[in-house]
Amino acid sequence: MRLILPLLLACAWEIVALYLNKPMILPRLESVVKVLLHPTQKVLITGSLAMHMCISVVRVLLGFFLAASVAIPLGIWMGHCRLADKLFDSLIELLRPIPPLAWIPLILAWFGIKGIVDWAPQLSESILLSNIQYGTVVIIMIGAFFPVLLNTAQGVRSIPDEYIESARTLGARRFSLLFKVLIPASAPAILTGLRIGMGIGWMCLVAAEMMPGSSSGLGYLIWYAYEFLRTDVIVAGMIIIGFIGFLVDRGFRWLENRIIWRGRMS
Amino acid sequence: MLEIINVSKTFQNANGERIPAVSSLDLTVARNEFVCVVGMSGCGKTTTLRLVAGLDKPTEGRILVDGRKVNGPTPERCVVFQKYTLFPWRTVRDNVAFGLEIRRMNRQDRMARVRKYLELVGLGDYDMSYPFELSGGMQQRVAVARALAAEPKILLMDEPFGALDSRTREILQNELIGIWCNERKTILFVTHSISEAITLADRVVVMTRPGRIRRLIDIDLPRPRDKNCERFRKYNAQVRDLLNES
Ligand SMILES: Nc1ncnc2c1ncn2[C@@H]1O[C@H](COP(=O)(O)OP(=O)(O)O)[C@@H](O)[C@H]1O
Ligand SMILES: [Mg+2]
Repeated sequence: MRLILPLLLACAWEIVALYLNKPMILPRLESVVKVLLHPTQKVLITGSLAMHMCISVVRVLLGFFLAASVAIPLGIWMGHCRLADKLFDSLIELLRPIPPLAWIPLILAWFGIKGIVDWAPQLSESILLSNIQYGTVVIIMIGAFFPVLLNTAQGVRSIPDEYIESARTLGARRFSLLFKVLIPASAPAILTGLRIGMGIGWMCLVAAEMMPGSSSGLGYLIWYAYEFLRTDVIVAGMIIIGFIGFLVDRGFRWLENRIIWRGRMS
Repeated sequence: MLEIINVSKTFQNANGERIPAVSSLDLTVARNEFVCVVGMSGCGKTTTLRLVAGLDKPTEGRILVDGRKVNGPTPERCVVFQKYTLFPWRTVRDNVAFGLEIRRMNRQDRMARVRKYLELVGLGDYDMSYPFELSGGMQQRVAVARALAAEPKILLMDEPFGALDSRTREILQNELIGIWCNERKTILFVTHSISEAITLADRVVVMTRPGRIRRLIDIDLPRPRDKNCERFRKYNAQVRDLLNES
């Protein structure tokens, strides 16, 4: 049932492609599939599909973890302590509406195309790590940061006072309260934030890879393929981008559903 | 021994007005005594209990437990709230073990004590259930077990059976009396039900707005108490009249 519409779309696509017979505008499905089936082969004159994919994934993971490692603690603090909430609230509300992509020019101005190889030259032998630029990672961080922060803060804020007070009368202090009450109680909200943050980070990444100075990643690949009018590569890249995003989202949803007490706090 | 000495608590509402919740309250509760605080809603019962728990600070006056000043919450004074406050991410067993984990009691002793108190409240077989799998009455039993497992000097209860149906409520009242007889605890129990107070308490504290003690009444009835006996009804009428006067 779920597959009916995608299959119909594929059929329509193939018919139109056959009819037009202009692969520069609409590639035949089989040429797209051919690209997808040879992920380790060099595409155009850049690296292989798999390589671009890995580079994109490593970038997004790095940015995502950096964002989460700031956003989760800050969110817990803001959710638990009214003073911290007031302190950060206006700044966050000011920065949040700025689309992550609007940061790109400024971030290019700050970091150029410097990456972690400039900091640790011995990494230049690794294809993966030599392709991690500060700029892209920062864009992903900005994209992933706010959903994680806001969901975490809201999750902690909505813990009923009675839970925290019961824990305190049972002897919970700072750390035990944090690890045994605040974090587990807000875990569903944190996970939701991570899922949304990851999704936005992924979209920002692909866009950031299309920016000047970029020389790898799925975003770069489809932009580069455009210069050669290789629409089959473009579509193959888009499919991979969509599929990875889908898988990650599913993974987080699976994790969220493992928390069986979700929505059971009175 | 619990001593509440000339304690007042005022809150500031949204308009900045000062609302007295408890005014110049004096009360002494002896060791192992079962005291019920009864009064209309809004008369300052919860506030009193929270002050004793150390969850709020008095605006004036002092609260002493065995001569030492109350300063913040400790497992020495555990609270059972009306709302179900079991941690939904923990099994029944781990809920009861919560306070013991924090105290870093070793696993074996912890499990033994959890078992003891779960059996005491009649839920020995439910240790691996999650709170949302239990009825309200069972959840409150676990909450009582969780508080008892911390072996507090004083057990504080804020309308713990208020959300239960009357039959379950009666059963839990009897169980609580049984536990109190065996475990010998000091209990400060808040309720707005007059008959609940008279069923349970050695002494009933009748409170009226704004947070004043109207009268202390010793309940001189043998347990288990019969709600239909003459003297029970007399106590009931006495308390009701006191509450209606104000
Ligand atoms: N946190 C608070 N802020 C402001 N007013 C409060 C607060 N807690 C209680 N009060 C007020 O104090 C009075 C006593 O409340 P409470 O102790 O909860 O009464 P009870 O438990 O007997 O129903 C009420 O008038 C209530 O509105
Ligand atoms: Mg109350």
